[in-house]
Order: sequence, then structure tokens, then C-alpha cells
Amino acid sequence: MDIDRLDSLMNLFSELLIDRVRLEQLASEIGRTELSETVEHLSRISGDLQNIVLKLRMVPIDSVFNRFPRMVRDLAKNLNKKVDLVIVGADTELDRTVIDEIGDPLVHLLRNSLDHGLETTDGRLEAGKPETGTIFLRAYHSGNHVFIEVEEDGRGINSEKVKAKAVENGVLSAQEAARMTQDEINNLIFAPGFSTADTISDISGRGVGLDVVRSKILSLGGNVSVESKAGIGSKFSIQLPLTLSIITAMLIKLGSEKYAIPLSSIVETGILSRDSILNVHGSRMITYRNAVIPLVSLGSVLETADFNEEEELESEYLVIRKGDKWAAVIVDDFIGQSEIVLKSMGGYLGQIPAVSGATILGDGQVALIIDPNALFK
Amino acid sequence: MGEELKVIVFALGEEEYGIEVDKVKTVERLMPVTRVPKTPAFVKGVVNLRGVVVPVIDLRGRFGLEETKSTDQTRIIIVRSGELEVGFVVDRANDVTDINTDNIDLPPEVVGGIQAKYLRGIAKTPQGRLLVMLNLSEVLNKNEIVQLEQMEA
Repeated sequence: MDIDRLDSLMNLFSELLIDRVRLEQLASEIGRTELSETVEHLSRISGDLQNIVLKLRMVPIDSVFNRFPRMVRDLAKNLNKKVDLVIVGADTELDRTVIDEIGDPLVHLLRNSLDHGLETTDGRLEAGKPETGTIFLRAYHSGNHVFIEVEEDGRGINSEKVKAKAVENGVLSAQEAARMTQDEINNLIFAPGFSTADTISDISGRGVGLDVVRSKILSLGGNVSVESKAGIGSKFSIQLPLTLSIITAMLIKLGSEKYAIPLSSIVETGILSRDSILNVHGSRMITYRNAVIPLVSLGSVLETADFNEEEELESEYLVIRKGDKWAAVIVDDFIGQSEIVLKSMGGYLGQIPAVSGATILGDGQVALIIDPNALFK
Repeated sequence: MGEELKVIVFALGEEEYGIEVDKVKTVERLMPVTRVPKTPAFVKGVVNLRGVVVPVIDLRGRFGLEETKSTDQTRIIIVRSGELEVGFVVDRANDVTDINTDNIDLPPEVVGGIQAKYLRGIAKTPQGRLLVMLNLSEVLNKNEIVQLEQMEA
């Protein structure tokens, strides 16, 4: 299948989607039965076509995985370690643009596991582990995402060392570090400038690697995190969208402005009465399920000029989640769910805090896409 | 012997400026602009240019001049500099003229309130008009913008 033709096809579909959404809006405004029925039919057909085109772009991740057994064998030999690489789910399919980009980060994670994760054969025997270490490389689908895991039974992350290094490098203060859970501390290894390698081996210990991995994965609209137990091993989890360019979002209003929030980050939506807002140590929070979660004023974060939630008796909110952190985000109003096409904003503006991109709405206006992860402190 | 340049003429207030035609992608009428938070004040936001999202800046604001109200003469000039595409909001833009690079003089330190580093020079058209030629890469210089943001922070 010719890649250029596929890309052209994909671009045309993105444009078709915008017009389809627009037609749906117009049809509901005009209200003529025949028009609405025709538009509905068109939507169904274009939806089916879209699914087929998306599937055409999917490539099994084996095309990335297949070079790893050799790479791991060679590296293990260099490091004098014994390793078994177990690959699961090589037939899992990903969008070809993601496939092109995911190779480098995976190489780095594998090298990292071999270099820092797994102990030497002597070290393993001393720890009562089998001489041969195991690295699991897994890929699977779940919901709208693809998950890739790199898991090894090595020495695990030394949380104390990570904490000390982070404070030493100014990544965070000692007080902040003291308040973090072990999982949070372990995930600091993705922070820029970070490396606790005692000796910087030429493979991956320079302290520039993991934050580059994280940026790359974030730029693909994904996430990477680590779970680890000292002495037992570590598991790196990458989450990626199934397709790069179309996502389902919740459109919201803040005054006269519209924004899109990826639906995958939203747990639920609701309305709260402003009386129910608690003030805990100077932070505003609400009760949610059996806990108390922080309240985020999206209007403040985005410096909206024409919406002030303080003036309302009740506020619409949505609950977002990042790992085991939750937050309630106040918005002005919900517009509704919509499939949106991710658009690049070009290079001039650079990275904008809390904004992950832009989309063009059915009425032709640009709406910014919020990055929910940026709303957690 | 200088070369002939085709130049798009635009105006900021009373002052006339020129940008080479090959750096200009298109000239558009004013269109709805979506605000982008946490950007310098001269960044008006982004626009939908036939399916492509393009950032738009107010040139007067970029140069530290007072911004003026838009009229139906206001235009957005979409320029291309390397990989970047940016729109400039200007007061008028309806002329194309030819100038010879021989007729571009070095600018004095400040022209119309704009520092020399943003300028390539002052060009004289065959009709005797004076056009301020912009130094696009300086105008679009992001390092400076980062500094500006840090100052405002």
C-alpha cells in the first residue's frame, strides 16, 4: 500500500470529518427531515469508510519488535549479563505514524533495563534470583489505546537514591519530596537532567535519556510511567492513542471561548453547588465518591476574561484522572462530545502550558485542546 | 548591480513597509482569531487558514508600538520564514511594487519607533516612496520572545 496515497486519503478524511460535523450541525439547525436523514446516512457511510481507512494505516508492532531480540542479545553480551527477552503481542497493530516514532523510545527503555535494571549474574545469584534475567516486552489494546510494557525482574528502583538525586538536582524541594509516594518518586526518573548511575556506562546512563523518551511519548499523545519494587524489578508502561490524528473530545465553553478536552481523560461530569466547595489549608476542594479532591478553575488557568465562576450559584465541572490523582475542573458549560481532528499549530508558538494542540470546529473556528495532565499540580 | 525584488507593500499607521513576495504565502482579510493563553500580548492567537491552524501576531505590538483598532482595510499577511508560517496583522496591504536592492539603504537606529535590528533597510521605490524592509528572521525570533515572557513573569 503506497504510503503517500494513504496519507492523502487520511488527509481527505480529516477534511471530510470536519464537513460532516458541520453538516450535522446545520441539519439540526435547519430541521428538515429529509435533510437530517440524508446527513445521518452520510455520517454512517463516512464513519464506515473512516474505520476502513484507519485500519489500512495499522501496522503490527512486530515491525518494530523484530529487531530487539538481536539487539538485546548483543547488549547482554557486552554487559556480561544473561537475559531472556520474552515478546508478547507482537501482532498488536498501531497506526503507522506511531510505529515510526515508537522505535527509539523502546530502544532506550530496553537498554535502560539491561544496563540499570538487571543485575550482573553474580549479583542475581547473591540475591537468590535465577542467573538469567527476564525482560518482558508486551503490547496489547485496551479501549482507544495501545499499551506497551517493558518489564524486568532486576534490582528495581532505589527510591531513596532517586529522591536524593532529585532534590540535589533541584527538581523539587526536600519538603515536596517528603510528601510523595514511592510511585511518585520513582516516576521522577523521567525528569530532565536526571541520572543516578554511579558510573555512566556508554549505553544509557547519561541522564538525558528517560526525559527524552517521555517527551517523545507525550508528543505522540501518550503517557509513560514506571512501577518498581526494590529487589524485585521494574515495569515501564507506555500508553499510546490508537490513531494520532482523530480523538473523541468533550467540547466546553468558558465565557465566549470554546475548548476541547480529550474524552479519555474525563471520568465523569456534573454540576456542583458553590456552597459545597471546601477550603482545606488554602486549597479549594470538593468531596467526590469517598474522597476529597482538588478543584481546578480552568478559567483561571487559561486567564479567561469573560467568565467568572464565583458569580454562579452552581458550577459545571468534570472530573479528570491521572494515575491515582484526581481533580475536579470547573467549566462554564458543556457543549457536547465530538470527534475532533488534531491540528498542528506550527512551530512559532512553541509549547503552551496546559494546551496540547488545536482543532477546527464545525463552524470553522479554531478551538484549543487542553492537556488535562497539566491541570494536576 | 543589485537584483530586482517584487515586494508586497503594507502599512502600519502612516509608515509603509515591504516584504518580498516570495516570503508571503497569502494576504487575507481579517478573520476570527482564537485567543491562545499565556502568550505575549502581541500574539493575537490562531486562525483557520483553509484547514491549517496558523498563529497571528500584531506587528505593531511586536515592535512595542501601540496597537490600533482594526478597520475593513485591516489585513493578515501570512508569511513563511523557513519552516514557520505566521500571520501579521497590518493596517493596509494592497500594493505590489518592484524595488532594486541597490536602492535599499541602511536604516537609522530607530525608524517609526522600530529598532534597527528588525529592519533590513529603507527601500526607495521607482515612484519615490520609502518602504521599510523588515528583517523577517529577527521579527520572528523566538529567543527574544522567550526573554520577553520571562521578563513579564
